Amino acid sequence: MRVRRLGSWPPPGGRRLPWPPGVRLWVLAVALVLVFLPALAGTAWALDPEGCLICHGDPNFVDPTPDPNGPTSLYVNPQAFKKSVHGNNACSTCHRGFVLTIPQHQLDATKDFRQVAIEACESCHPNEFMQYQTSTHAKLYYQDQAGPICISCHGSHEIRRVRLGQESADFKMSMARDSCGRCHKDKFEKAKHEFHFKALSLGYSPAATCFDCHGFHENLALKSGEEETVRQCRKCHPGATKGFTYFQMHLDEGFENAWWGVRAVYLFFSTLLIVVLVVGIAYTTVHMQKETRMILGVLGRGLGRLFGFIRALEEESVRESMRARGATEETGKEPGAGGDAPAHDDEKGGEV
Amino acid sequence: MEEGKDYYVRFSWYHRLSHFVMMTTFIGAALTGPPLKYSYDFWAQAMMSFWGGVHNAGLIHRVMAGFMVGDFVVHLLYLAYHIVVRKAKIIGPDSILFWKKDLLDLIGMVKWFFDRGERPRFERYTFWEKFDYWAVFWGIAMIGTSGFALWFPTVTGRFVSGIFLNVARIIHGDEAILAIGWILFVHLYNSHLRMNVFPMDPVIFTGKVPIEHLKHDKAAWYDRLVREGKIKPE
Repeated sequence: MRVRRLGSWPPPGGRRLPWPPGVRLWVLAVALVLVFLPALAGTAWALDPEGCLICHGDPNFVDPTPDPNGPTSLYVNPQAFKKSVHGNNACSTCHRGFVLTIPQHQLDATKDFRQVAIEACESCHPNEFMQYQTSTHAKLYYQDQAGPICISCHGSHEIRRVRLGQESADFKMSMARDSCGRCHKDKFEKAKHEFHFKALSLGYSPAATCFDCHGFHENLALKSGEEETVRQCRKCHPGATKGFTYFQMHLDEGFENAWWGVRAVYLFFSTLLIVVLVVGIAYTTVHMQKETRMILGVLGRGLGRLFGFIRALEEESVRESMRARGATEETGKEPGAGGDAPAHDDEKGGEV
Repeated sequence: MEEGKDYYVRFSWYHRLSHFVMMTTFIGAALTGPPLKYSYDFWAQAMMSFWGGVHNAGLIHRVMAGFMVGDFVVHLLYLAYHIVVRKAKIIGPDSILFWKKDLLDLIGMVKWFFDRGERPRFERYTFWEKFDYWAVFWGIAMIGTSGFALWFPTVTGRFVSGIFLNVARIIHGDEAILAIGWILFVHLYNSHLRMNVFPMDPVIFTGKVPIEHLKHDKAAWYDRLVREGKIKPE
Protein backbone atom coordinates (compact mmCIF):
# COMPACT_ATOMS: atom_id res chain seq x y z
CA MET A 1 0.00 0.00 0.00
CA ARG A 2 2.70 2.39 1.06
CA VAL A 3 4.82 1.67 -1.99
CA ARG A 4 1.86 2.16 -4.29
CA ARG A 5 1.03 5.44 -2.67
CA LEU A 6 4.60 6.68 -3.11
CA GLY A 7 4.49 5.48 -6.66
CA SER A 8 1.36 7.38 -7.32
CA TRP A 9 2.93 10.73 -6.34
CA PRO A 10 1.49 13.25 -7.00
CA PRO A 11 -1.74 11.64 -5.94
CA PRO A 12 -4.39 11.67 -8.54
CA GLY A 13 -6.77 14.41 -7.52
CA GLY A 14 -7.94 14.99 -3.93
CA ARG A 15 -5.84 16.72 -1.19
CA ARG A 16 -2.20 17.63 -1.82
CA LEU A 17 -0.04 16.74 1.17
CA PRO A 18 2.84 19.20 1.73
CA TRP A 19 5.42 16.43 2.23
CA PRO A 20 5.49 12.79 1.46
CA PRO A 21 4.95 10.84 4.76
CA GLY A 22 8.50 9.37 4.92
CA VAL A 23 10.11 12.74 4.46
CA ARG A 24 7.82 14.08 7.07
CA LEU A 25 9.28 11.60 9.59
CA TRP A 26 12.80 12.66 8.72
CA VAL A 27 11.88 16.34 9.08
CA LEU A 28 10.34 15.59 12.44
CA ALA A 29 13.46 13.76 13.58
CA VAL A 30 15.78 16.61 12.47
CA ALA A 31 13.51 19.21 14.07
CA LEU A 32 13.51 17.26 17.29
CA VAL A 33 17.30 17.12 17.28
CA LEU A 34 17.50 20.84 16.56
CA VAL A 35 15.00 21.76 19.24
CA PHE A 36 16.50 19.48 21.92
CA LEU A 37 20.17 20.04 21.11
CA PRO A 38 20.54 22.64 23.85
CA ALA A 39 18.62 20.29 26.10
CA LEU A 40 21.15 17.57 25.28
CA ALA A 41 23.90 19.97 26.23
CA GLY A 42 21.89 20.56 29.37
CA THR A 43 21.98 16.86 30.00
CA ALA A 44 25.75 17.08 30.02
CA TRP A 45 25.56 19.95 32.61
CA ALA A 46 23.13 18.04 34.72
CA LEU A 47 25.72 15.26 34.90
CA ASP A 48 28.02 17.73 36.65
CA PRO A 49 28.70 17.10 39.54
CA GLU A 50 26.90 13.74 39.55
CA GLY A 51 28.73 12.55 36.47
CA CYS A 52 32.11 13.68 37.79
CA LEU A 53 31.44 12.05 41.14
CA ILE A 54 30.92 8.65 39.52
CA CYS A 55 34.69 8.43 39.47
CA HIS A 56 35.74 11.21 41.86
CA GLY A 57 33.29 10.07 44.52
CA ASP A 58 35.26 6.86 44.91
CA PRO A 59 37.66 7.11 47.85
CA ASN A 60 40.16 4.90 46.02
CA PHE A 61 40.27 7.06 42.90
CA VAL A 62 43.86 8.18 42.30
CA ASP A 63 45.89 9.87 39.58
CA PRO A 64 47.22 7.02 37.44
CA THR A 65 50.34 8.99 36.41
CA PRO A 66 53.35 7.32 38.05
CA ASP A 67 54.58 9.48 40.89
CA PRO A 68 57.60 8.81 43.13
CA ASN A 69 55.75 10.33 46.08
CA GLY A 70 52.93 7.83 45.72
CA PRO A 71 49.63 8.27 43.96
CA THR A 72 47.69 11.51 44.33
CA SER A 73 44.13 11.05 45.52
CA LEU A 74 41.51 12.53 43.23
CA TYR A 75 38.70 11.76 45.65
CA VAL A 76 36.04 14.34 46.46
CA ASN A 77 33.72 13.54 49.38
CA PRO A 78 30.26 13.93 47.79
CA GLN A 79 28.42 14.51 51.09
CA ALA A 80 30.91 17.10 52.29
CA PHE A 81 30.79 18.86 48.94
CA LYS A 82 26.99 18.88 48.92
CA LYS A 83 26.99 20.41 52.41
CA SER A 84 29.60 23.04 51.51
CA VAL A 85 28.71 26.59 50.53
CA HIS A 86 29.44 25.65 46.90
CA GLY A 87 27.34 22.51 47.10
CA ASN A 88 24.91 23.71 44.44
CA ASN A 89 27.66 24.67 42.00
CA ALA A 90 28.84 22.43 39.23
CA CYS A 91 32.39 21.12 39.25
CA SER A 92 33.10 23.01 36.09
CA THR A 93 32.17 26.33 37.70
CA CYS A 94 35.56 26.28 39.31
CA HIS A 95 37.39 23.62 37.28
CA ARG A 96 37.26 25.81 34.24
CA GLY A 97 38.75 24.47 31.04
CA PHE A 98 38.12 20.94 32.18
CA VAL A 99 34.61 20.75 30.78
CA LEU A 100 34.04 17.55 28.88
CA THR A 101 37.73 16.81 28.65
CA ILE A 102 39.72 14.25 30.50
CA PRO A 103 41.41 16.16 33.31
CA GLN A 104 44.55 14.14 33.76
CA HIS A 105 45.76 15.18 30.34
CA GLN A 106 46.18 18.72 31.63
CA LEU A 107 47.42 18.13 35.14
CA ASP A 108 51.14 17.97 34.43
CA ALA A 109 51.67 21.74 34.87
CA THR A 110 51.31 22.54 38.58
CA LYS A 111 51.67 26.31 38.16
CA ASP A 112 48.96 26.31 35.61
CA PHE A 113 46.65 24.52 38.03
CA ARG A 114 47.27 27.07 40.79
CA GLN A 115 46.72 30.00 38.48
CA VAL A 116 43.48 28.45 37.23
CA ALA A 117 42.40 27.95 40.83
CA ILE A 118 42.97 31.62 41.70
CA GLU A 119 41.14 32.78 38.58
CA ALA A 120 38.26 30.46 39.32
CA CYS A 121 37.77 32.12 42.70
CA GLU A 122 38.28 35.57 41.27
CA SER A 123 35.47 35.10 38.77
CA CYS A 124 32.88 35.10 41.58
CA HIS A 125 34.78 36.87 44.39
CA PRO A 126 36.53 39.83 42.72
CA ASN A 127 36.65 42.03 45.85
CA GLU A 128 38.26 39.36 47.98
CA PHE A 129 40.67 38.68 45.15
CA MET A 130 41.68 42.35 45.08
CA GLN A 131 42.28 42.27 48.84
CA TYR A 132 44.37 39.16 48.41
CA GLN A 133 46.42 40.84 45.70
CA THR A 134 47.71 43.40 48.24
CA SER A 135 48.64 40.78 50.83
CA THR A 136 51.96 39.27 51.77
CA HIS A 137 50.52 35.89 50.85
CA ALA A 138 49.99 37.09 47.25
CA LYS A 139 53.43 38.67 47.11
CA LEU A 140 54.96 35.33 48.06
CA TYR A 141 52.81 33.53 45.52
CA TYR A 142 53.72 35.81 42.64
CA GLN A 143 57.42 35.65 43.55
CA ASP A 144 57.89 31.95 43.07
CA GLN A 145 54.45 30.32 43.22
CA ALA A 146 55.28 29.17 46.77
CA GLY A 147 52.96 31.43 48.76
CA PRO A 148 49.46 30.48 49.75
CA ILE A 149 46.55 30.94 47.35
CA CYS A 150 42.82 31.00 48.14
CA ILE A 151 42.47 27.25 48.58
CA SER A 152 45.49 27.04 50.88
CA CYS A 153 43.40 28.59 53.63
CA HIS A 154 39.84 27.99 52.51
CA GLY A 155 40.23 24.43 51.32
CA SER A 156 38.46 23.48 48.13
CA HIS A 157 35.50 21.16 48.21
CA GLU A 158 34.41 21.65 51.81
CA ILE A 159 34.25 25.44 52.18
CA ARG A 160 31.79 26.26 54.93
CA ARG A 161 29.16 28.98 54.96
CA VAL A 162 30.00 31.77 57.39
CA ARG A 163 27.99 34.77 58.48
CA LEU A 164 30.52 37.52 59.01
CA GLY A 165 30.52 38.73 62.59
CA GLN A 166 28.46 35.76 63.73
CA GLU A 167 31.08 33.06 63.59
CA SER A 168 30.93 30.54 66.41
CA ALA A 169 33.80 30.29 68.87
CA ASP A 170 34.51 26.76 67.63
CA PHE A 171 34.79 27.99 64.05
CA LYS A 172 37.09 30.84 65.04
CA MET A 173 39.25 28.46 67.03
CA SER A 174 39.42 25.88 64.26
CA MET A 175 40.22 28.57 61.66
CA ALA A 176 43.13 29.72 63.79
CA ARG A 177 44.35 26.18 64.39
CA ASP A 178 43.71 24.54 61.04
CA SER A 179 43.97 27.39 58.54
CA CYS A 180 46.32 30.06 59.86
CA GLY A 181 47.96 27.70 62.34
CA ARG A 182 48.85 25.20 59.64
CA CYS A 183 51.67 27.49 58.49
CA HIS A 184 51.88 29.91 61.42
CA LYS A 185 51.99 27.18 64.04
CA ASP A 186 54.36 29.05 66.34
CA LYS A 187 52.22 32.18 66.25
CA PHE A 188 49.10 30.21 67.05
CA GLU A 189 50.75 28.27 69.86
CA LYS A 190 51.83 31.55 71.43
CA ALA A 191 48.54 33.36 70.88
CA LYS A 192 46.82 30.44 72.62
CA HIS A 193 48.17 31.63 75.97
CA GLU A 194 46.64 35.03 75.47
CA PHE A 195 43.25 36.12 76.79
CA HIS A 196 41.42 36.21 73.43
CA PHE A 197 42.11 32.59 72.58
CA LYS A 198 41.53 31.38 76.12
CA ALA A 199 38.07 32.94 76.01
CA LEU A 200 37.46 31.50 72.54
CA SER A 201 38.43 28.03 73.67
CA LEU A 202 35.78 28.34 76.41
CA GLY A 203 33.13 29.24 73.85
CA TYR A 204 33.17 33.05 74.04
CA SER A 205 32.60 33.86 70.37
CA PRO A 206 33.12 37.66 70.45
CA ALA A 207 36.79 37.16 71.35
CA ALA A 208 39.13 37.85 68.46
CA THR A 209 40.77 35.13 66.41
CA CYS A 210 43.60 35.65 63.87
CA PHE A 211 41.51 37.16 61.11
CA ASP A 212 39.70 39.63 63.38
CA CYS A 213 42.92 41.61 63.71
CA HIS A 214 44.99 40.55 60.71
CA GLY A 215 42.12 40.73 58.24
CA PHE A 216 40.67 37.97 56.10
CA HIS A 217 42.59 38.52 52.90
CA GLU A 218 44.96 41.39 53.57
CA ASN A 219 46.84 39.36 56.25
CA LEU A 220 48.21 42.52 57.79
CA ALA A 221 51.49 42.32 59.64
CA LEU A 222 50.47 44.45 62.61
CA LYS A 223 53.13 46.35 64.52
CA SER A 224 52.71 48.15 67.85
CA GLY A 225 52.19 51.89 67.51
CA GLU A 226 51.07 51.85 63.87
CA GLU A 227 47.88 53.50 62.67
CA GLU A 228 46.64 50.28 61.07
CA THR A 229 47.04 48.43 64.36
CA VAL A 230 45.07 51.10 66.23
CA ARG A 231 42.36 50.78 63.60
CA GLN A 232 42.20 47.01 64.01
CA CYS A 233 42.07 47.20 67.83
CA ARG A 234 39.31 49.78 67.66
CA LYS A 235 37.02 47.30 65.91
CA CYS A 236 36.43 45.75 69.35
CA HIS A 237 37.99 48.30 71.73
CA PRO A 238 36.55 51.64 70.57
CA GLY A 239 38.71 53.68 72.92
CA ALA A 240 41.97 52.11 71.77
CA THR A 241 44.89 54.50 71.52
CA LYS A 242 48.38 54.19 70.12
CA GLY A 243 49.65 53.29 73.60
CA PHE A 244 47.11 50.46 73.81
CA THR A 245 48.71 48.72 70.82
CA TYR A 246 51.92 48.16 72.75
CA PHE A 247 50.20 45.18 74.36
CA GLN A 248 52.26 42.14 73.35
CA MET A 249 50.04 39.51 71.82
CA HIS A 250 52.10 36.51 70.74
CA LEU A 251 54.12 35.75 73.87
CA ASP A 252 55.23 32.27 74.80
CA GLU A 253 54.36 30.71 78.14
CA GLY A 254 57.55 31.65 79.94
CA PHE A 255 57.53 35.17 78.42
CA GLU A 256 60.95 34.55 76.93
CA ASN A 257 60.17 36.58 73.83
CA ALA A 258 58.58 39.41 75.81
CA TRP A 259 59.98 42.81 76.68
CA TRP A 260 62.51 42.32 79.53
CA GLY A 261 60.26 44.22 81.95
CA VAL A 262 57.42 41.78 81.42
CA ARG A 263 59.74 38.84 81.91
CA ALA A 264 61.19 40.42 85.05
CA VAL A 265 57.70 40.91 86.50
CA TYR A 266 56.82 37.33 85.60
CA LEU A 267 59.95 35.94 87.27
CA PHE A 268 59.47 38.11 90.36
CA PHE A 269 55.85 37.15 90.92
CA SER A 270 56.39 33.48 90.13
CA THR A 271 59.21 33.39 92.64
CA LEU A 272 57.10 35.24 95.21
CA LEU A 273 54.24 32.80 94.63
CA ILE A 274 56.45 29.78 95.19
CA VAL A 275 58.43 31.17 98.13
CA VAL A 276 55.41 32.45 100.08
CA LEU A 277 53.39 29.26 99.53
CA VAL A 278 56.33 27.00 100.38
CA VAL A 279 57.06 28.93 103.58
CA GLY A 280 53.37 29.01 104.52
CA ILE A 281 52.81 25.34 103.84
CA ALA A 282 56.05 24.38 105.59
CA TYR A 283 54.96 26.33 108.69
CA THR A 284 51.56 24.67 108.60
CA THR A 285 53.13 21.26 108.18
CA VAL A 286 55.41 21.55 111.23
CA HIS A 287 52.44 22.90 113.17
CA MET A 288 50.49 19.82 112.09
CA GLN A 289 53.25 17.39 113.09
CA LYS A 290 53.29 18.88 116.59
CA GLU A 291 49.54 18.62 116.90
CA THR A 292 49.54 15.14 115.39
CA ARG A 293 52.03 14.04 118.02
CA MET A 294 49.93 15.66 120.73
CA ILE A 295 46.78 13.93 119.46
CA LEU A 296 48.61 10.63 119.15
CA GLY A 297 49.92 11.10 122.68
CA VAL A 298 46.43 11.65 124.04
CA LEU A 299 45.16 8.74 121.98
CA GLY A 300 48.08 6.62 123.13
CA ARG A 301 47.45 7.40 126.79
CA GLY A 302 43.76 6.71 126.29
CA LEU A 303 44.45 3.43 124.51
CA GLY A 304 46.96 2.43 127.19
CA ARG A 305 44.35 2.98 129.87
CA LEU A 306 41.74 1.12 127.83
CA PHE A 307 44.03 -1.90 127.31
CA GLY A 308 44.97 -1.85 130.98
CA PHE A 309 41.33 -1.85 131.93
CA ILE A 310 40.55 -4.73 129.59
CA ARG A 311 43.48 -6.75 130.93
CA ALA A 312 42.32 -6.11 134.47
CA LEU A 313 38.85 -7.32 133.61
CA GLU A 314 40.25 -10.48 132.02
CA GLU A 315 42.46 -11.23 134.98
CA GLU A 316 39.60 -10.54 137.35
CA SER A 317 37.46 -13.10 135.50
CA VAL A 318 40.32 -15.60 135.57
CA ARG A 319 40.63 -15.05 139.30
CA GLU A 320 36.91 -15.45 139.72
CA SER A 321 36.89 -18.75 137.87
CA MET A 322 39.88 -20.01 139.83
CA ARG A 323 38.21 -18.97 143.04
CA ALA A 324 35.07 -20.79 141.94
CA ARG A 325 37.08 -23.89 141.05
CA GLY A 326 38.88 -23.66 144.37
CA ALA A 327 35.51 -23.53 146.12
CA THR A 328 34.14 -26.61 144.35
CA GLU A 329 37.36 -28.66 144.74
CA GLU A 330 37.72 -27.39 148.31
CA THR A 331 41.48 -27.38 148.02
CA GLY A 332 41.49 -24.03 149.75
CA LYS A 333 44.44 -22.99 147.62
CA GLU A 334 44.31 -19.29 146.67
CA PRO A 335 46.28 -17.92 143.72
CA GLY A 336 49.43 -16.62 145.38
CA ALA A 337 52.26 -14.71 143.65
CA GLY A 338 50.28 -13.79 140.50
CA GLY A 339 47.45 -12.30 142.53
CA ASP A 340 49.07 -8.93 143.27
CA ALA A 341 49.64 -7.61 139.79
CA PRO A 342 46.09 -8.08 138.48
CA ALA A 343 44.74 -6.49 141.60
CA HIS A 344 46.99 -3.47 140.97
CA ASP A 345 45.85 -3.28 137.34
CA ASP A 346 42.31 -3.50 138.46
CA GLU A 347 42.76 -0.42 140.57
CA LYS A 348 44.36 1.38 137.66
CA GLY A 349 41.50 0.37 135.41
CA GLY A 350 39.10 1.66 137.95
CA GLU A 351 40.57 5.14 137.58
CA VAL A 352 39.55 5.39 133.91
CA MET B 1 31.73 42.29 130.08
CA GLU B 2 28.26 41.33 131.07
CA GLU B 3 27.87 39.43 134.28
CA GLY B 4 27.36 35.72 134.13
CA LYS B 5 28.62 35.34 130.54
CA ASP B 6 31.32 32.82 129.86
CA TYR B 7 32.39 34.40 126.59
CA TYR B 8 34.06 37.58 125.47
CA VAL B 9 32.92 39.53 122.38
CA ARG B 10 36.06 39.69 120.34
CA PHE B 11 34.72 40.99 117.01
CA SER B 12 32.17 43.78 116.58
CA TRP B 13 29.36 43.54 114.05
CA TYR B 14 31.46 45.59 111.64
CA HIS B 15 34.42 43.19 111.86
CA ARG B 16 32.12 40.25 111.22
CA LEU B 17 30.33 41.88 108.31
CA SER B 18 33.60 43.03 106.79
CA HIS B 19 35.07 39.52 106.99
CA PHE B 20 31.87 38.00 105.63
CA VAL B 21 31.89 40.27 102.58
CA MET B 22 35.58 39.65 102.01
CA MET B 23 35.10 35.89 102.32
CA THR B 24 32.09 35.59 100.01
CA THR B 25 33.47 37.90 97.35
CA PHE B 26 36.81 36.11 97.52
CA ILE B 27 35.17 32.73 97.03
CA GLY B 28 33.04 34.13 94.19
CA ALA B 29 36.05 35.59 92.44
CA ALA B 30 38.17 32.51 93.07
CA LEU B 31 35.55 30.27 91.46
CA THR B 32 34.96 32.43 88.37
CA GLY B 33 38.52 33.53 87.58
CA PRO B 34 40.71 30.42 87.36
CA PRO B 35 38.76 28.67 84.56
CA LEU B 36 39.85 31.48 82.25
CA LYS B 37 43.47 31.30 83.36
CA TYR B 38 43.53 27.52 82.97
CA SER B 39 41.16 27.43 80.00
CA TYR B 40 42.88 24.46 78.35
CA ASP B 41 42.64 22.23 81.43
CA PHE B 42 39.95 19.60 81.54
CA TRP B 43 38.00 21.13 84.41
CA ALA B 44 37.91 24.67 83.03
CA GLN B 45 35.25 23.98 80.42
CA ALA B 46 32.90 22.36 82.94
CA MET B 47 33.41 25.14 85.45
CA MET B 48 32.75 27.81 82.82
CA SER B 49 29.60 25.99 81.71
CA PHE B 50 28.50 25.95 85.34
CA TRP B 51 28.60 29.74 85.38
CA GLY B 52 26.93 29.94 81.99
CA GLY B 53 29.90 30.88 79.88
CA VAL B 54 32.76 33.34 79.86
CA HIS B 55 30.50 36.35 79.74
CA ASN B 56 28.51 35.45 82.85
CA ALA B 57 31.55 34.30 84.77
CA GLY B 58 33.20 37.62 83.91
CA LEU B 59 30.13 39.48 85.12
CA ILE B 60 30.08 37.62 88.44
CA HIS B 61 33.82 38.14 88.78
CA ARG B 62 33.42 41.89 88.32
CA VAL B 63 30.48 42.16 90.72
CA MET B 64 32.57 40.29 93.30
CA ALA B 65 35.50 42.60 92.63
CA GLY B 66 33.25 45.62 93.10
CA PHE B 67 31.96 44.47 96.50
CA MET B 68 35.41 43.37 97.61
CA VAL B 69 36.98 46.73 96.79
CA GLY B 70 33.98 48.45 98.38
CA ASP B 71 34.58 46.43 101.53
CA PHE B 72 38.23 47.45 101.41
CA VAL B 73 37.45 51.16 100.96
CA VAL B 74 34.99 51.08 103.86
CA HIS B 75 37.70 49.44 105.93
CA LEU B 76 40.15 52.25 105.09
CA LEU B 77 37.53 54.75 106.26
CA TYR B 78 37.06 52.70 109.43
CA LEU B 79 40.80 52.78 110.06
CA ALA B 80 40.94 56.52 109.40
CA TYR B 81 38.05 57.08 111.82
CA HIS B 82 39.75 55.08 114.55
CA ILE B 83 43.14 56.67 114.10
CA VAL B 84 42.09 60.28 113.48
CA VAL B 85 38.88 60.67 115.49
CA ARG B 86 39.21 58.10 118.26
CA LYS B 87 43.00 58.47 118.50
CA ALA B 88 43.59 54.73 118.57
CA LYS B 89 47.13 53.72 119.44
CA ILE B 90 49.00 52.68 116.32
CA ILE B 91 51.55 50.53 118.12
CA GLY B 92 50.65 48.33 121.03
CA PRO B 93 48.93 45.13 122.06
CA ASP B 94 45.61 46.19 120.54
CA SER B 95 47.15 47.20 117.21
CA ILE B 96 47.13 44.98 114.13
CA LEU B 97 50.56 46.34 113.15
CA PHE B 98 53.52 44.00 113.60
CA TRP B 99 55.72 44.64 116.58
CA LYS B 100 58.66 42.98 118.29
CA LYS B 101 56.55 40.42 120.16
CA ASP B 102 55.35 38.90 116.88
CA LEU B 103 58.88 37.89 115.95
CA LEU B 104 59.42 36.43 119.43
CA ASP B 105 56.08 34.62 119.16
CA LEU B 106 57.05 33.15 115.82
CA ILE B 107 60.32 31.89 117.25
CA GLY B 108 58.45 30.61 120.30
CA MET B 109 55.93 28.80 118.08
CA VAL B 110 58.67 27.09 116.09
CA LYS B 111 60.38 26.08 119.34
CA TRP B 112 57.06 24.69 120.60
CA PHE B 113 56.62 22.73 117.33
CA PHE B 114 59.83 20.89 118.14
CA ASP B 115 59.20 20.51 121.89
CA ARG B 116 61.82 23.12 122.80
CA GLY B 117 59.52 25.29 124.90
CA GLU B 118 56.03 26.25 125.94
CA ARG B 119 53.46 27.64 123.53
CA PRO B 120 53.84 31.44 123.44
CA ARG B 121 51.39 33.55 125.41
CA PHE B 122 49.66 35.44 122.62
CA GLU B 123 48.23 38.91 122.77
CA ARG B 124 45.03 40.08 121.04
CA TYR B 125 46.27 39.36 117.50
CA THR B 126 48.64 36.50 116.79
CA PHE B 127 51.26 36.98 114.12
CA TRP B 128 49.45 34.70 111.66
CA GLU B 129 46.27 36.72 112.11
CA LYS B 130 48.21 39.90 111.43
CA PHE B 131 49.84 38.32 108.41
CA ASP B 132 46.46 37.28 106.98
CA TYR B 133 45.15 40.78 107.61
CA TRP B 134 48.02 42.52 105.81
CA ALA B 135 47.96 39.93 103.05
CA VAL B 136 44.56 41.34 102.12
CA PHE B 137 46.12 44.79 101.76
CA TRP B 138 48.83 43.39 99.50
CA GLY B 139 46.27 41.32 97.58
CA ILE B 140 43.90 44.22 97.03
CA ALA B 141 46.77 46.45 95.94
CA MET B 142 48.11 43.89 93.47
CA ILE B 143 45.05 41.97 92.28
CA GLY B 144 42.67 44.92 92.53
CA THR B 145 44.86 47.37 90.64
CA SER B 146 45.76 44.88 87.92
CA GLY B 147 42.16 43.74 87.76
CA PHE B 148 40.85 47.24 87.10
CA ALA B 149 43.61 47.76 84.53
CA LEU B 150 42.39 44.64 82.71
CA TRP B 151 38.73 45.55 83.16
CA PHE B 152 39.26 48.88 81.36
CA PRO B 153 42.11 48.09 78.98
CA THR B 154 41.70 51.09 76.72
CA VAL B 155 41.74 53.47 79.70
CA THR B 156 44.95 51.78 80.81
CA GLY B 157 46.28 52.23 77.29
CA ARG B 158 45.54 55.93 77.43
CA PHE B 159 47.71 56.50 80.50
CA VAL B 160 50.44 53.90 80.20
CA SER B 161 51.80 51.65 77.48
CA GLY B 162 49.70 48.64 76.56
CA ILE B 163 52.54 46.45 77.76
CA PHE B 164 51.28 47.12 81.27
CA LEU B 165 48.31 44.95 80.34
CA ASN B 166 50.73 42.05 79.89
CA VAL B 167 52.20 42.92 83.27
CA ALA B 168 48.76 43.27 84.83
CA ARG B 169 47.70 39.86 83.55
CA ILE B 170 50.77 38.19 85.06
CA ILE B 171 50.29 39.93 88.42
CA HIS B 172 46.55 39.27 88.52
CA GLY B 173 46.90 35.56 87.82
CA ASP B 174 49.95 34.84 89.96
CA GLU B 175 48.74 36.79 92.95
CA ALA B 176 45.31 35.18 92.70
CA ILE B 177 46.86 31.71 92.79
CA LEU B 178 48.98 32.81 95.73
CA ALA B 179 45.90 34.11 97.55
CA ILE B 180 43.86 30.97 96.87
CA GLY B 181 46.76 28.73 97.90
CA TRP B 182 47.33 30.75 101.06
CA ILE B 183 43.67 30.65 102.07
CA LEU B 184 43.36 26.92 101.40
CA PHE B 185 46.59 25.68 102.92
CA VAL B 186 47.50 28.23 105.57
CA HIS B 187 44.59 30.42 106.63
CA LEU B 188 42.05 27.62 106.89
CA TYR B 189 44.43 25.50 108.94
CA ASN B 190 45.60 28.22 111.30
CA SER B 191 42.15 29.65 111.85
CA HIS B 192 39.95 26.58 111.81
CA LEU B 193 41.68 23.23 111.66
CA ARG B 194 44.33 23.49 114.36
CA MET B 195 43.66 21.41 117.40
CA ASN B 196 42.41 24.15 119.72
CA VAL B 197 39.58 25.16 117.41
CA PHE B 198 38.94 22.07 115.27
CA PRO B 199 36.74 21.67 113.20
CA MET B 200 36.17 25.40 112.91
CA ASP B 201 36.46 28.57 114.93
CA PRO B 202 33.10 30.35 114.73
CA VAL B 203 34.43 33.51 116.40
CA ILE B 204 34.68 35.42 113.11
CA PHE B 205 30.95 34.85 112.51
CA THR B 206 29.61 35.06 116.05
CA GLY B 207 32.17 37.47 117.47
CA LYS B 208 32.17 35.51 120.72
CA VAL B 209 35.11 33.61 122.12
CA PRO B 210 34.64 31.37 125.19
CA ILE B 211 36.73 32.71 128.06
CA GLU B 212 38.00 29.21 128.78
CA HIS B 213 39.34 29.09 125.24
CA LEU B 214 40.74 32.61 125.44
CA LYS B 215 42.63 31.76 128.62
CA HIS B 216 44.43 28.97 126.87
CA ASP B 217 44.75 30.33 123.34
CA LYS B 218 45.69 33.95 124.05
CA ALA B 219 47.02 33.90 127.57
CA ALA B 220 48.65 37.35 127.51
CA TRP B 221 45.50 38.99 126.28
CA TYR B 222 43.43 37.11 128.85
CA ASP B 223 45.70 38.34 131.61
CA ARG B 224 45.45 41.90 130.33
CA LEU B 225 41.65 41.72 130.09
CA VAL B 226 41.50 40.47 133.67
CA ARG B 227 43.89 43.24 134.76
CA GLU B 228 41.80 45.85 133.01
CA GLY B 229 38.70 44.43 134.63
CA LYS B 230 37.04 43.61 131.31
CA ILE B 231 36.51 39.98 132.23
CA LYS B 232 36.18 38.24 135.54
CA PRO B 233 39.00 35.83 136.35
CA GLU B 234 37.86 32.23 136.21
